[in-house]
Amino acid sequence: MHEAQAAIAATLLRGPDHLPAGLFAGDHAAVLRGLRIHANTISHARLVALEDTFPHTRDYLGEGEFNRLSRAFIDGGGAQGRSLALIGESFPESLVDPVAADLARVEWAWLESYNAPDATALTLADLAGLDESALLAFCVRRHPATRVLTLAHAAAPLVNPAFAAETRALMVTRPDAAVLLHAVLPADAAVITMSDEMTPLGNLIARLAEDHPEGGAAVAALIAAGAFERV
Amino acid sequence: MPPRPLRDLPQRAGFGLKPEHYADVLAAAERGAPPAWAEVHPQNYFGAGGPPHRWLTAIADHVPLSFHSVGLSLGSAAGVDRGELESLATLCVRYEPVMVSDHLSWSNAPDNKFPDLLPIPYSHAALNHFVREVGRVQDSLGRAMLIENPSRYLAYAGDDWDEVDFLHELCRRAGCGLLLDINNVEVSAYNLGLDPAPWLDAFDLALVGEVHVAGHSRKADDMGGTIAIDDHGSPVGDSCWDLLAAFLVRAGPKPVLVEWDSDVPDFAVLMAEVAKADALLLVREPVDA
Repeated sequence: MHEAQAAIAATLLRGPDHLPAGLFAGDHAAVLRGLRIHANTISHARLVALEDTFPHTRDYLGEGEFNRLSRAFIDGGGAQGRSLALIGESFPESLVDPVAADLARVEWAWLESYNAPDATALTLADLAGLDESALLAFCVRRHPATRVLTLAHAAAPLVNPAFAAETRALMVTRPDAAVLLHAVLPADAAVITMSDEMTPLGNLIARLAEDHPEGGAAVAALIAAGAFERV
Repeated sequence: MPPRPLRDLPQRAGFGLKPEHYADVLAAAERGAPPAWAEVHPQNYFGAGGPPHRWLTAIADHVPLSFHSVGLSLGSAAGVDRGELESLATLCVRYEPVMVSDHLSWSNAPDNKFPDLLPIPYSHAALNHFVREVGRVQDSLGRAMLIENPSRYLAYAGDDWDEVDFLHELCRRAGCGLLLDINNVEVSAYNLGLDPAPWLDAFDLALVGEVHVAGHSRKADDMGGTIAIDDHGSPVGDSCWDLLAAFLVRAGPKPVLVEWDSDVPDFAVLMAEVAKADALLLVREPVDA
């Protein structure tokens, strides 16, 4: 079985010259016809999975160019060893157009958030009864559906026209059923990364006080956006 | 293999659940008329959380589920995909589906996961392999499963078994059951130049735990031939309905699933197909009645 499957895999990837004579019954044309169906099924499934994963990137690049780049990604081995659900994980890195690459990274982060574990988001109301010292000592952790990413180029308006072209960081949250995108600052992204581990709120506020134009109070917007998990 | 009893789906028509129809299914349930049962591809719910699970949890409160896996790759020479099996087992604990099934095929090569159901030889070695791997899955899930007959575009030279005998022997030795896809029989028969009616007649009715029907297309190519393609992108064909009707005359009622996976229609159109299957089922008395 190893040898036959290796030969079929090679044929599907590199063409019928790799098919051993006599492996399949029937005339040569019928065998080629059957192999072509399998090759087309595989290619079509992968292309559709990329289309479904990156609709904004496809709109930005145009259908023809997106299709060309998708085929190049697949032919270059980018889809090998991956299930359809994970086929797009390294697709953004394959894109030379920097805006398209940023856009695809946003869409991958959106998909990760969509499928992330469910958890109850921390709300401002959860903190309402705490005095200052208790508030600063209160430990938070990034919600499992929260993602942050920095943008090198003006991709943000392409995912939401309300976002400014100068937006250099986005946060993805899913405090409830819906995935939400927020334009944030690099300082916001930094404290979200800090909260990958349980971290006192006071540490996040101190970091924001140093780097964020709104100071430590900026943490309130992150909490309101559902960035942290109620632990 | 120690025998494990198969659980029973309703002997009615079910449908393949698609995200486009989540709200329609729940609306039907709220009207007191949920579909009899639904089948899902568990791979679409391997994510840890999020909206897909919210919908499926809500639907599972009203509709019995069958899990029709497309990713175990039972026939791969290296054996079943362990990651897929672990995810499937976790999902089975979460949803307790009435039925679990996968295919008589392979998908994984050492460095590649092909999103397709590739053909296996009907050899003694392949049979031994499938007995071992189906047993591995059933041990992991703690339940018996169904194995679906494939759509075939190719036949290996020098097979030791014909397909039906291969499946029967697999069921006998592994303790699994059959998911009989009538459309697959029709597609395979067309592509291999055989008659689907006697092919269907050869199946042991007692082993069949679920039946599939679907639409397929036929395509002419530049080599002067025509091939049937199992694309599930159209209504069930008249010939497939005829084969189902003939099968039900012989078998009595069985759970029948209408598959429609591409160019997915409105819910009402899909339910009209389900009603056609139900109409064929409801005129059949149970064979043991």
